[in-house]
Amino acid sequence: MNELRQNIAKVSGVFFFIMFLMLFFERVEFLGELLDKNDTRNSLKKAIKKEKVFEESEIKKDKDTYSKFSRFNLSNFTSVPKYKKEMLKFETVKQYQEKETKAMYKPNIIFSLIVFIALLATILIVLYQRISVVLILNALLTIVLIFYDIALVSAIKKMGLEKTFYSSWGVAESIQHILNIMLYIYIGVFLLLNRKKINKAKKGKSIKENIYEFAYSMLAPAIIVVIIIIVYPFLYNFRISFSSLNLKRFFSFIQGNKLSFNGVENYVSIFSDGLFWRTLMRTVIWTFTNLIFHVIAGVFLAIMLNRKMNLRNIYQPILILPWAIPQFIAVLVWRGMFNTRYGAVNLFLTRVVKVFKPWYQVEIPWLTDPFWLFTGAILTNIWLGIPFMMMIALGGLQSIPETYYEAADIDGASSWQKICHITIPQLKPVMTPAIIMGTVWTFNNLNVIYLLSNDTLTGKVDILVTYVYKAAFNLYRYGYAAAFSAVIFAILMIFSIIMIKVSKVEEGVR
Amino acid sequence: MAIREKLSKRLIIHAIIIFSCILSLYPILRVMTISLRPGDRAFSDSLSVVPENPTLEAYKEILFRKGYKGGEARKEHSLLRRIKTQKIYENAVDGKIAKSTIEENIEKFNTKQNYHEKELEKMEIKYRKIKDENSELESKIKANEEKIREYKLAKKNKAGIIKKKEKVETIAAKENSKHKKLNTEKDELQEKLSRMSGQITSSQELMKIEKDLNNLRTEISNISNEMKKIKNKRGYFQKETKNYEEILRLKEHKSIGDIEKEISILKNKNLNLKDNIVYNIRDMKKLGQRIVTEVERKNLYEDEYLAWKYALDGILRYEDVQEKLEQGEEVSDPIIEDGIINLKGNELLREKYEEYKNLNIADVDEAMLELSEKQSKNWYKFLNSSFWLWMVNSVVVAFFTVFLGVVFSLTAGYAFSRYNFWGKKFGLTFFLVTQMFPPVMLLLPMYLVMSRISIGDISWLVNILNALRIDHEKFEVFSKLITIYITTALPVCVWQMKGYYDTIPYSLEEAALIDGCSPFQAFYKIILPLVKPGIVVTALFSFMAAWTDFVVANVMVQSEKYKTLPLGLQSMNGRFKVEWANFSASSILVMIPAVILFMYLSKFLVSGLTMGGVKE
Repeated sequence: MNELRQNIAKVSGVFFFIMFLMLFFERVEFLGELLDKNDTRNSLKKAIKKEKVFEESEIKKDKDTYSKFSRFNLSNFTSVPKYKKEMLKFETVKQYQEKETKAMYKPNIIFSLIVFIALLATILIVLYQRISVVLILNALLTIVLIFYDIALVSAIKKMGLEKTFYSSWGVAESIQHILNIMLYIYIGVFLLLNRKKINKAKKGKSIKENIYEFAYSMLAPAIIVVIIIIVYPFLYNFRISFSSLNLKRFFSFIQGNKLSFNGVENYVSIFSDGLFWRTLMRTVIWTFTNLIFHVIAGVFLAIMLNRKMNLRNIYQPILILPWAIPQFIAVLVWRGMFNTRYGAVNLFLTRVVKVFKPWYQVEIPWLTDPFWLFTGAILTNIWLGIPFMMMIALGGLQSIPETYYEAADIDGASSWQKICHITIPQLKPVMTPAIIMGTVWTFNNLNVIYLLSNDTLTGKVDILVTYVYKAAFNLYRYGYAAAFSAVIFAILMIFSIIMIKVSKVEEGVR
Repeated sequence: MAIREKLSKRLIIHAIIIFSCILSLYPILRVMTISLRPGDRAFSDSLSVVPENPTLEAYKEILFRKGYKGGEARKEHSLLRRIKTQKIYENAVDGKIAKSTIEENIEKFNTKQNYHEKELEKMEIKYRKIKDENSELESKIKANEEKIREYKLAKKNKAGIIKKKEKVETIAAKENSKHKKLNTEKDELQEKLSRMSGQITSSQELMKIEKDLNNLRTEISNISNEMKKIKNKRGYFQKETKNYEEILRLKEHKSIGDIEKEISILKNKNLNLKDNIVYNIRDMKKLGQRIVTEVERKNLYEDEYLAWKYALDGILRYEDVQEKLEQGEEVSDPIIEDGIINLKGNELLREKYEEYKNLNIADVDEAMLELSEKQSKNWYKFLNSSFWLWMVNSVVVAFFTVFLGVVFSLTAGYAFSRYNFWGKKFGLTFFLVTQMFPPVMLLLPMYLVMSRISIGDISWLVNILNALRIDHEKFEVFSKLITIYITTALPVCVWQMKGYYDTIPYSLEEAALIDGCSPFQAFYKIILPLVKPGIVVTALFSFMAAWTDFVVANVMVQSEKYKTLPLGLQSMNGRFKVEWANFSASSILVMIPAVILFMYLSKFLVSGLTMGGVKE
């Protein structure tokens, strides 16, 4: 029971802490709104009025000086040079801005203090996990909060906006203050009453339990980031997929309107369209041709390389090179090589063909014909992906003990038999996860086809992923694209679950 | 392998590996050669990897000439010019400068400017002439080489050449006969067509006849296609027969000694021509330098000329206004409209204006000279080039991605590796599953959410950023980019770090715990120093995620100022027109650091990518 209570206290402490942070953000947003709505225009007007008075006096001075020194008669000439005017205006506006920043100075400093304390708090909680720390921090934060509110009030008074401030904002905030203080007192009393029991519980704790908590606290920052950055968008994607968000409704969406519910219309339109099934077929062809070539060529090269031979130290880095080059550069380079007239591929093919048919000029339209563009993309991706498989196969080959091969030699096995019965079965556990990941990566490979087609031939060469990308960011069909990407995710999940079940990679995840 | 393999087997293996090495190297070498060619000859029919007459023109252009910074230097120049015009104007109004001297100055600078313009034109014509000469010389060299080839063929035995000639002649005759046959067929078919089209009488027959007509048309088109092909073939073989005939004639008229003499003469000629080309290239370089200096001088005089001219205009207008005022007409400040200094929110210019405001005319002149000198220097050009801008943007984004990714994955990977706790398996598989998200799946909702938030609305943050002298738009774009890059990099980083922690035995920490360390101390003091190489590799991985990304940046970055390197490169590679030499030069510049880093760290990468636990 003690532990339960203690845990409850801890959770509630952390909860309060988070609530405090939320309060700060609310307040700050509110302040920004206030400033934007009422203040800037009025005070600018005031500043400009003052400026005009100032200006007139300046003009008088100018008149005097001009009449003294110039030989022209300036009695009727009333305007100051306009560039001087501009400078004057600019100076006053700058002064105004400075004033504004000064007014906001105190609240801002206090706010940055709060953020600093919050950061400290997370670190301390992670390190020590003591309720007392949470308690002290809560106390500190309430004090700082009160100061912050006082500073805010004074700043708002300076700007002359007391009425709006008190009517809409002050009451709710003060109630929150009172609630906070009450909760704080509650925790304090709770701890004071149960102090002895808690201390006993702490002493009785085993090292293992401590470590158990430590593990969670180590995970905390990454998990928080993942929840904000990955889980939330992931769920939000489903929400969008049931709406009819597109370019037409995008503007009102930005302004803060809610998404319009659309039912499963997007999904229906995806599955009833022939284009989806065609692109799906194309994607399957794309992944499997790529993967077959990657694995076969990668393993083949690895077997070739995995022996004592001269120049190995030169061969290996050259063979990894395609992996090292940034993908977008590699694709753009290949785009240059696929040029119809001057591209290296066509030139090379004409050289080859000239041996048999010397009158023939090869002019394959690599970049304008859908079929050839697709084959070109596959070629490019094969070139890009072989080194990865090769390196992993090399790693696997090096872990095979040589005694197996020696035994095979004694039994009189041919080299082909050695490869079939020793190398490939031994490579299997290393290669299967790599193959699964490779399939997923090629399936999701956006760069090659998108950059090679360069926005042309939409729907004729696209695989699923590039099609979604174009639908979302070139055609602005956000709801449709969200539904489409959810479908793609489902396909990939089903595939990888089946693969994992079949190949039993799960054992790798201890 | 204990026993060495046979020589033949080894040779075959070497051959295969060398072949695949060539395949993997060729595209890169090709880009390198294109980048080393001068810009107007980036296209060529040669497949060779060694460029002829390599120049660093493209690199220079990328690093120095292509400036995008909103034309700040130009603005500064015009600011100075305007200040000078004001000074002259004020002095003239006060009577310190006479009107006649202003007019004299205008004429003086105008003549100077014209002189430099003419000089420039002359130089450019010269430059073009030399270039044309070079291309002529090259074509001559090519022609000579062909002749040499013919002579060499002529030196061979006569019988072989005659045989070859006969073969070629027979093929040509065959193709000719084929061509004639096809021609007659085509004529027949066309006659048929015309007859058929004349035969139509009733509407019922019309359908049938139309079908026949279509068939006929397709046949005719097929035949004409074949004829085209045969024409090409025929032309080629006819040329060949002529060649062989000439060679035979050579053989009959000249002795072998004569032919050898001719060959040696031609070779000498070629050598001379090549020497000429080299001299010409030298001249071109010198001329290029002179042109650059000339342009700078011209610009300087242009500035002076414009300053004096504007001042004179101002004074004339001022006098006009005076006359009108004396006559009693109403005038609303007409004079100085042109003299206004436009200070649209550019703080740099404002500061500069404050600096220059109180100078004399002579000091302004000096400042102008200094500015133009500064502009001619390479470091200034480099810092103002668009390549530098993109690079700085990319580096900033990549640095923060690396930092955050490493910090988060360090702790999380440690927990996953060391402890068994509720939800561990789920967490690890979740990180794997994120790899299965299609890239749009996270990008789209992030994009939508982020398009709702803009930092410009949050006044306190803007104030803080202003106090720190950070452009808040830049902050916004980059922070959005960084968050998205972390989503792609973080899962892989966590997996990788987990793999590294797995390689370190747990007994180390146990000893530390028994000695009285807290778990965090054990992690911080003992394990962290041991996984330094792992951290480096993780950093590399998240660096590559940020450095090489195109897809995300393409969506999130709209303005020219905040483009990252990949975006800039893609903008060079347009849909219709590609600046080949510049593009390949810049891609090589981007490639080099990434490749070097990658090569250096590739050994560590593999062990991380085999997914940690699987390997053991």
